[in-house]
Amino acid sequence: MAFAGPQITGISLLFHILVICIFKIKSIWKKFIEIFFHPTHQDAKK
Amino acid sequence: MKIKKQIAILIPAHNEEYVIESTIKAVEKLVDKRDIYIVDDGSTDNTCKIAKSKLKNILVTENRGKANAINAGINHFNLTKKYEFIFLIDADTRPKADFLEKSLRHFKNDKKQNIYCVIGRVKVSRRNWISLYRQWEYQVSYKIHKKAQEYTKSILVSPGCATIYRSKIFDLLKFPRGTMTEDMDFTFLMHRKGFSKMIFEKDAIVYTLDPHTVKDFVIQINRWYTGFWQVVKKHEIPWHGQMLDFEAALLAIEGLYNGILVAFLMICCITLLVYGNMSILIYPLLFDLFLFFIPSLIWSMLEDKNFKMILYIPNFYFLRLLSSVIFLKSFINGYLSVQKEHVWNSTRYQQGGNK
Repeated sequence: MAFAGPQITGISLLFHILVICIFKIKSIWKKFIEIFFHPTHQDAKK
Repeated sequence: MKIKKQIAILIPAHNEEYVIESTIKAVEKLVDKRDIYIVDDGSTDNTCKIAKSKLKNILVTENRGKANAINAGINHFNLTKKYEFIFLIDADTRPKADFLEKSLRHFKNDKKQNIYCVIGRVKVSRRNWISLYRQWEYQVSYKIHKKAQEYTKSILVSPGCATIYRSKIFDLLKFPRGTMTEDMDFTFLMHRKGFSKMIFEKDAIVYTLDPHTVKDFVIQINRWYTGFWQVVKKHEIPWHGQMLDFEAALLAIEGLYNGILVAFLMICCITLLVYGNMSILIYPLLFDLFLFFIPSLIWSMLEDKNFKMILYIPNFYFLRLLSSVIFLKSFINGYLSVQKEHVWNSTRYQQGGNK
């Protein structure tokens, strides 16, 4: 069974696209923080 | 302590003589023959004979439904003690050769062992306009809906044809009976018991046989939708405060709204045909067409690299309207009336393997 909802285009679609965008941005932000502000990175700088 | 083997494949089957051999061939490419298990749930055709000619691990049970067949297979073969993971697939399903590689890496990276299942992506294996419609549905529902549900820990269904489970989940939970969609029922049960961490892997692909006629399409979605409402009722959506409650309620309300709207528009359509002005119906249609349907279709075509879909827009609208009305009808059958037990659908595998 591959059910995802009775009407796959509508408000739920917009909502889910929004959720994916938020989580993608969150993961990019995390990577950004890790690269530029990670303690080991700062130690290496010193 | 005995070391567990990695993965078993369990195939529940009922009257699958047209497809069982090709399914066995496909899964033999993934694991050793000794790790493939089939439960023949009271088939009246040659399923058992064909399976026995190919494999040793065959269990024959009375015809008591898919949930029972899965539970019986796991218990009889003692799979939870022998294996780390159990891959459940339908007898009409062919996983891609790299399915295990793509899926199992999530378990390997999960040091805390709190992922209880990895869900693959379903694609249609044959193409006519109905299966193309289904392909569009799969693209949107898996790559957008299920992906978002994974993020919010509210995956509605781990499909019975494309899910690998950590075997110890079956020491804690059994596949529940009493609804027409046992895989959705089990997924809801996992959420309720706190096993909400499920992973969707878009590159782990299985091919299934999907309906090729409108009649088969109606039978299939009627079963899915009725099962959905039974599960919603059984698990008391939306009263438990989980993300699952929000997700299921959102889809249920949207589906009901669409069903009522379509029914209303159909009545309006007849009235307006008689009395004149049809323009009032054009605006909602254009809104849906340009805001939702065409963009999702273009995206789906690009993803699938199949541009035939564009030829069938009117046909797709017909199936969408049909789906909305059936969803409304199944609300009455599944939610408002007495629960029905899942029975194997005897029309699923007629000559040629139509599901």
